[in-house]
Amino acid sequence: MKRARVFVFVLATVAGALPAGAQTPSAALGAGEVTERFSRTSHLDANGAFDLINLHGNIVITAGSGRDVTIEAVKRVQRPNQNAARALLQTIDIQVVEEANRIEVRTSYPRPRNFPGSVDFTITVPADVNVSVRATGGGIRATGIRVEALRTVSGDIDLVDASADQFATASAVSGNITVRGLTARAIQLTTVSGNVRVDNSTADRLMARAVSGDVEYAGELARSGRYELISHSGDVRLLLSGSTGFDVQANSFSGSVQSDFPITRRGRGAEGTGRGAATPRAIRGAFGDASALLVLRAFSGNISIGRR
Amino acid sequence: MNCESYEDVLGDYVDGARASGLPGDARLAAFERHLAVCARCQALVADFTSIRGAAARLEEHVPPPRLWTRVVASIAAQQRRPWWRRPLADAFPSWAPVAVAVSLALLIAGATWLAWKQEPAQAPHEAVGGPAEPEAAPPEQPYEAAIAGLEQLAASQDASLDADTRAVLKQNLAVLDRAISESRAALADEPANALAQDSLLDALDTKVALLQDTVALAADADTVSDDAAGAAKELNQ
Repeated sequence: MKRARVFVFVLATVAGALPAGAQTPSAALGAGEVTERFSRTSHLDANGAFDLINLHGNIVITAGSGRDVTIEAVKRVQRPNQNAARALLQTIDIQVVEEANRIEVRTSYPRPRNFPGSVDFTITVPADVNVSVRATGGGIRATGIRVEALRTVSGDIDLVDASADQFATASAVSGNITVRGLTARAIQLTTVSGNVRVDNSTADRLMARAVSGDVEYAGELARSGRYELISHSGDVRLLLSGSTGFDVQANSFSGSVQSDFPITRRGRGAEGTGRGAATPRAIRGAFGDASALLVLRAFSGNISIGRR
Repeated sequence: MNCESYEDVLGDYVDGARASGLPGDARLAAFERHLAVCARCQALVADFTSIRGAAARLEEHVPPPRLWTRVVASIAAQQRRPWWRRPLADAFPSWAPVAVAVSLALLIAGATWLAWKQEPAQAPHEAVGGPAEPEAAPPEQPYEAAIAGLEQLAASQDASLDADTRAVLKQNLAVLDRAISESRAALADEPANALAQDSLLDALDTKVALLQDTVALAADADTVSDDAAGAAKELNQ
């Protein structure tokens, strides 16, 4: 079967003249693009798990009110020749494996290298299902879910009003990560080229890192929370609301460090209370009851702690 | 009795046990009498008490979620099939690189922990910008070994990935290499700067993670194209 599928791919690519397969594409959106819809409804009991592995395409995943898992997908192939595109469309498989209160969805192409297609997913899962998504190319937007891990190589990740039992992790290689209203014991967000922004989220521990982008946290601090915000060449910003005090270690190698809060400083050359202007590259000290810990680090970026 | 004969109660004493006068505490009571006159054991107790206190103040280190995700996925994948239907030839090609990547991650974690453990404790306010410990082995050493191994592994599987993905990974490895170079240059100027060292370790850590992801992606692509594609038709028909 695999050989036959590869043969179809090669033939369609080279000749571009094969007839459509057994499944007729439902729509042709643009010149040279053919699409086909996929739909599946499944069921997950409480605390089930949903895993999605996609190669290319955008993913929208939302928590629903019932126990159903609905998987809507649109396969797309772009080729100048429509017949060739239709033939290639038939080689994209969406594999759904259901087992032991777990659903795994995986897209497969016979030859993933340089395949001119993608699959966009729109998924609804029960709110208490643990979701894990891994994509190679494409954005991930998740709302209201219980999240375990969201990962993409290139694309943005938006996580809204989600929760996690323990760890919630989101990572991109090239893309922005935006998190709003996430509640978890620990949150880890990492991107190489992109910005990380966390808004109104709650965690005992937050680690947000970017290499060439900005890292920003806006919202209240959890008492006894530990916040580690690190960027190499981007800026690190905190916009704090609420009254939780903090102990802060903020350092930039060649950028500036500034705080709007009156911080009781410690360490060499940093005694006294002030707003951070006296030690432009480092602030170490405490504000209020010092119940949260902030570790802020930038190599060449600036660090600022302000009020929201 | 000599000092060595009290090894069995030394740990209990450091943990706070004291002789209560009951017969079961005879060894502890003997040790307390010995301790009162033995400078060597007093020093040993002081050292162990100090280590115990330092260990209690250590931050809890939780394995990175990416490691757990991969381990759990690996176990789940294995459990889906009964053992008699898991020929080595089936399982080995897709999971071997991931296993190697995870092993390298564990190697780094272990070696870094050991290197860190050998360093003397520093007061928290000296951790940033304070003097570096000249006798400690360079902490980036284990990273470099792991990176070399992962780069070799990633290069051997490079062809499994599509051109766009390869390009993105390559661009971002270059971003990381720049960050590593900048940190190294800063360390060359200011060898005692702990922030420059932290930045270097951050960049190396991220590079290891990216290379691990590259290896896992390539393994996924191979699995998807060679293994799952054939089964997919049957599952969905």
